[in-house]
Order: sequence, then structure tokens, then C-alpha cells
Amino acid sequence: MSKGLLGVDISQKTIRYVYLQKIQQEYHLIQAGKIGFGLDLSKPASLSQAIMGIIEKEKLDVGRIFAAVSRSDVSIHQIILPKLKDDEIEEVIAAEIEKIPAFLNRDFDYIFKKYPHSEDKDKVVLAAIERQILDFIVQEITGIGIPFSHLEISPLNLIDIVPTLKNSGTPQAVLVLQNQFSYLSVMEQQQYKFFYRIPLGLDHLALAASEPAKEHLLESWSAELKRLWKSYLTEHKNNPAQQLWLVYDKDFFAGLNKLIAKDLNLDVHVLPLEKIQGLKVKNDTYLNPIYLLALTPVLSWARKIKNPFPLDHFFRSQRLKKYVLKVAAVCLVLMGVVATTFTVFQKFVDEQSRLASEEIDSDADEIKTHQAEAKGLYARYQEYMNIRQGLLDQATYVYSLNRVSWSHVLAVVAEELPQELSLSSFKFSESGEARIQGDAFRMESVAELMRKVDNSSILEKGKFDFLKEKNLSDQDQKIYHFGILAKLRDLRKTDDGPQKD
Amino acid sequence: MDPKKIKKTVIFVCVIFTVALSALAYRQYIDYVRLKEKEKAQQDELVAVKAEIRQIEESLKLYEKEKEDFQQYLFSERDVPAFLEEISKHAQQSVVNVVDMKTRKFQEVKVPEDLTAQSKMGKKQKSQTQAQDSKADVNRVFTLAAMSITVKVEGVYSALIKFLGALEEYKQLITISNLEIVSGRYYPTLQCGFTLKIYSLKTLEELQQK
Repeated sequence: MSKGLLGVDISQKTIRYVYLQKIQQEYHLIQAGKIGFGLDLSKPASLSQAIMGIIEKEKLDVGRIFAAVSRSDVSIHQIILPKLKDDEIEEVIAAEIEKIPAFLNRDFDYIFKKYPHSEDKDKVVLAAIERQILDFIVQEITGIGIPFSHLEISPLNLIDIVPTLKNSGTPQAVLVLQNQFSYLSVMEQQQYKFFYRIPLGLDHLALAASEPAKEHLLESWSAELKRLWKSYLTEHKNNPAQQLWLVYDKDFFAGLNKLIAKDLNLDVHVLPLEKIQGLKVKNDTYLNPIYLLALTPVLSWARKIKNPFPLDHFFRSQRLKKYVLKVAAVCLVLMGVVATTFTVFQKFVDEQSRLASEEIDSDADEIKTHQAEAKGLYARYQEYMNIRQGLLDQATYVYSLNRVSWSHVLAVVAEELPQELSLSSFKFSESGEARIQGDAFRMESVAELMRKVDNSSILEKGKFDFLKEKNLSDQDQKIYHFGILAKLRDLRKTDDGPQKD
Repeated sequence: MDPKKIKKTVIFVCVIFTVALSALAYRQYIDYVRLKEKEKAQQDELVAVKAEIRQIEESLKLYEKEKEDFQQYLFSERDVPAFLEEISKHAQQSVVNVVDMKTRKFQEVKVPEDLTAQSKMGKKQKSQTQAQDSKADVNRVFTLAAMSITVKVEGVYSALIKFLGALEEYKQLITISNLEIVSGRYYPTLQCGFTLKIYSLKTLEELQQK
């Protein structure tokens, strides 16, 4: 069996409680009762001990706690305001509450709901509670250690719990008789049309010492009720409520409904708990409508009803704190993950950068070392290159000198020499100049030789040097002694001359 | 405060935080990439230096080999007597008379300036090279040296051609220059003079000593 739900209604001098368990999709009212309890803010843990006492006394297995506050220090009002924006109405309501003497210069919290009243006005039903009392109640119940996050200011949310009120097409009036106050409200189409408080409750009647005093109190209460009802009828004379539902402690004052019916000339019925949807009452003794105040937050939560006055309203700051903490925690975790990732990345990059820097330094040192070690090698290489180049130049030069095949040159000279002249000498200098001297009978032979020199494969630039005529001593004949200058062809430029193989 | 506002604020803070750290991380990454590029450049330089050194070492080995190969075509000191014997032998075979033969000492082969590759270099480089040359150990600086042999022979024209041809076919490097042939009273016997040069690799030190 699942854990049960405990609803407590904290009034001025008592705590009424209901204990429900879910059995086969229905909530069964297992336990109900009341204990005497006076809230004393100077006694920490008094409320929690009282509730724990209920739990222990009734041996309840509680999975969640719900609270309703029905105290004289809770103010429930109806005010008419011009139509305002949401942020403006908050300020106006706060100012209105501050006008209440009980909340003057006191810190308070409040809940309100606005309903359209006329074209330019709204009707606002509001409930205010002193912050100190609210915090005390919340802390005390939270301190028990059982989940607690729903608080009702009775009797704001009755409208959604009782099908008789919710589904009726006509206006329905409800009179809630609490210990210190009585609340008369009229609702139509799930909207409050009238909400008023009478400062007289069950405690006042209980305190009446004598029967005449009690009757006097009842008469005063009845007169105030009549005045209010008349006021309501004046305001809603076209479609007034035809019946009134009574919520009160049936055990304390049986037959109150008949008394009111007589005074107001209305159908007055005790609000039936047994007609609440999804609620089964185990014991007829629990069919007391006053338990409806403790049942309201439990059933609202159990049936997931979206109340006009949210039950979690007074936990919003707490929830906001939790939300902020949660979001901050998520944010911190996220930032932590990002920061950790970044740190890991940074560490990796730093390590890699350090290794790279070391490698760069090492390479630079190695380069310097190699260059220093190879300095001699470079010098030697340069020296050898110079030597090599020098040798190449020398070899090339010698090769060019040696390209002339002298045996070939002499063969060509013999071959190309005209028949009619003889050479007395020829000389080739190292620079390639050729000096040819000889004798000829005819001058034409010299000219022919010069032409042959120009056309020769080994000589070029034939130049006349000298010519001398002389007589042969033993013969009566003239000969010409001549000299011709020429150059060996530049065999480095042409490849068609005589060359060595 | 509205939870939605809180949520938006927190998301904004988280996004800013993430973006800021991401920017920081990106910057670090960029620095790291630059460092890696520098490292790669440094490694490439190191490889290049090593390769250059290796190449120089190989070039030096190649130079030594080239020098040895080159020396095969040149004369060493001990080759000179054998060469003179060869000349005498070829003279006999060619029927020429060696009238006169005179040797001079080895001298460095001077290359005309317009033929040197080094002359094509800039003056600065040339002066650097010369400076390096002057600094270089004369023991190591090899140069091509030539020993001139003034030869005078007598013979008929065809014998001279044969003799010169035989000399030109000699296995080692020789050059013949300043060739002069004169016919005299004993024609067809001609007087022929020429300068024969044999070549050898000598260090500057050897040339200076001689």
C-alpha cells in the first residue's frame, strides 16, 4: 500500500487533520480528527511536534503533507479596483494590504485573483498572511522531513473541489464557519461574485458562557449575515443564488442550516463530503464538512486541479531559490565541464607546445652544432671547389692547346701546298700564329698560296708579309722569296678543323 | 525574479563563458599550430643542413676520385725517364734524329684570364676566392703543372709527321707547341724544333720548392 496523504487545517486553537490513502484509483479518507494547538512563534518546533504527534498517535504512514491555514491573522478580502496592468495591480494590492492595521509595518505575503467586475473595474479577492507566521508554518512542517509544498489559505479554493459548486449552472452561495471567522461567498461559473468575512466564528459561540449569551451571539451573527446577504442581493438582484451550502463543524452545532435557512429564506444544505468526486469516506463520523478545509489542498493535488489560488504560491520564493540553486549548479557543472575540457585541452596544447619548443631549441642547437662542425668541411669544400675549378680551367686550356694534331696539320700543309713553290720554313707559335716562308718562280704562286691559306681547313686570316726577288746564283733565273702570316683557326670555336681523336 | 529570466541569464553566462574559453583555446591552438610550423621548418632546415653536409662529404670523395682519375692522364716524377726513353724509341722508329732535347722545371699552367671560369665571377667573389686561396694550406692546393721540353730533331718531312703523330698518340697528356720546320742545306732532311710539355698534378708547395 502506498504512503498516505496528510492534510492539516491550522486554525487559531486547533489543528484538524485528514489522512487519505489511494486505493484503486480512489482516495479513501482513513483518518480524520482534531487536536488542540495554539500557534506560538516563540516556540520553535511546536507545530512540527504537534503534527508528529498526530502521525504517531494515529500511526500514519505519511508520504506528503498538505496544509490549510484558517486563522484570524490571515486576512481575506474582496476589493474593487480599476483595470490595471499586472505589475501595477501588484503594487496597488500591496498598498491595500499595508492599510490593514494587522499588516502595518509588517512583512507579509499575499495571494490574489482578479475577476472582471465591470467594463473598467476588476474584482480582486486577496489573502494576506504575515511573513513571520507563514515562514514559521512552512519551516515547521518542512522540518518534519516529509515532502511539503502545498499551502492553502482557507477557504479560497473550495470552488474546484466540490462538484456541487463547480458544475452548477446557477450561482451558489457557501458559508464557511471557521473558529474565528465566517466567510460568505457566492460563486458563479467558477468565479467569485461575492466574498465577505464576518468576524464571528465557532470559538466565539463556544466561549459564550450561558445559553442567553450564546443566543445573543447567534442573533448578532445572523443579523450580520442577513445584512451581507441583502447587500449581495442588491448587487446581484437579476440572478441571485437560490441555495447556500454550509461548511462548519457539524458536531459542534447541529441544525445550524435550518436556523440560517429560516433567517435568509433560502435553501441551506450542509455541504456533503460524500459527494466529492474520487473520495471515499471510511467512517461516517468523518462526514463532517469542516474537514473539507483540510481536504481541499490534498484533493487539489491528488486530482491535479489547477486552483485559482495556487497551492504552491507561497513556496515560489523557496522554489525559486531551489531553481536558482539548481540552475546555478547546472551552470557550474556545465562551466566546470567546459573549464575541465579547456584545462585538459590547454594542458595538452601546453605540453605539445613545450615539446615543440624543446624540439625547436634542440633542432636549432643541432643545426648550430652541425654548422660549427661542418665549418671546416665547408671551407675545405670551398677550397676544393676552387682547386677543382682551377684544374678544370687548366685542363680545358691545355685541352684546347692540344686539340691541334700537328701530324695532321703538316699533312694538310703538304697536300695543299701549290706545286710551283717550295717552303723554306714554317713556324707555329703557341699562340696560334703561323709564319710561312718559301720560294716561288712566279708571283701568282704566292697569290695562290694566300688564297689557299684563306680556304684552308686549318689556317685563316692569311696576310702578306714580304716578297723579295733574287737571282739564283748558278742559274740565270729569278725566284721570289716570300713570307706569309696566318693564324691557326680557332679550333675552340669551330669543330671542323683537324683535331686529335 | 522570473525563472525564464534566470534561465536566459544563466544560458547567456554559460554561452559567454564557453565562447570566451573557446576563443582562448582557439588562440592557444593557433599559437600551437604556428609553433608546429616553426618546428617543421626547423626540422626541414636540419635535414637540409645534414643533407648538405652529406653532399659535401660525397663531393669531397668524388673530388678525390676525380683527382685520381685525372692523375692517370698525367705524369708523375717517375714517369719522366720512361717518357724520354719513349721519345728516343719513337725517333728511331720514325727515322728522325733527336739533335737536342732540354727539359725545364715544372711550372704552373697559367690560364689566359679570358678563358677562366673564375674570371666570370664577380670581383667580390673572386677576391673572396683569392683570399681563401691565400689562406688555404699550400700543401693541399693542387694545380696543374707543366714541364717544358725543348726538342730539336732532324728528318725528312714524312718522318717528322710520323714522329709527331707517335708523340700525339702518347697515352698521357702532352702538348706540342711552337713548332718550327726549317729546310736547310741537307734537304730533304729538315730541321724541326718544338716545345713538348708534359703535365703533372703538383701542390703549390712542391712548385715553390722547385
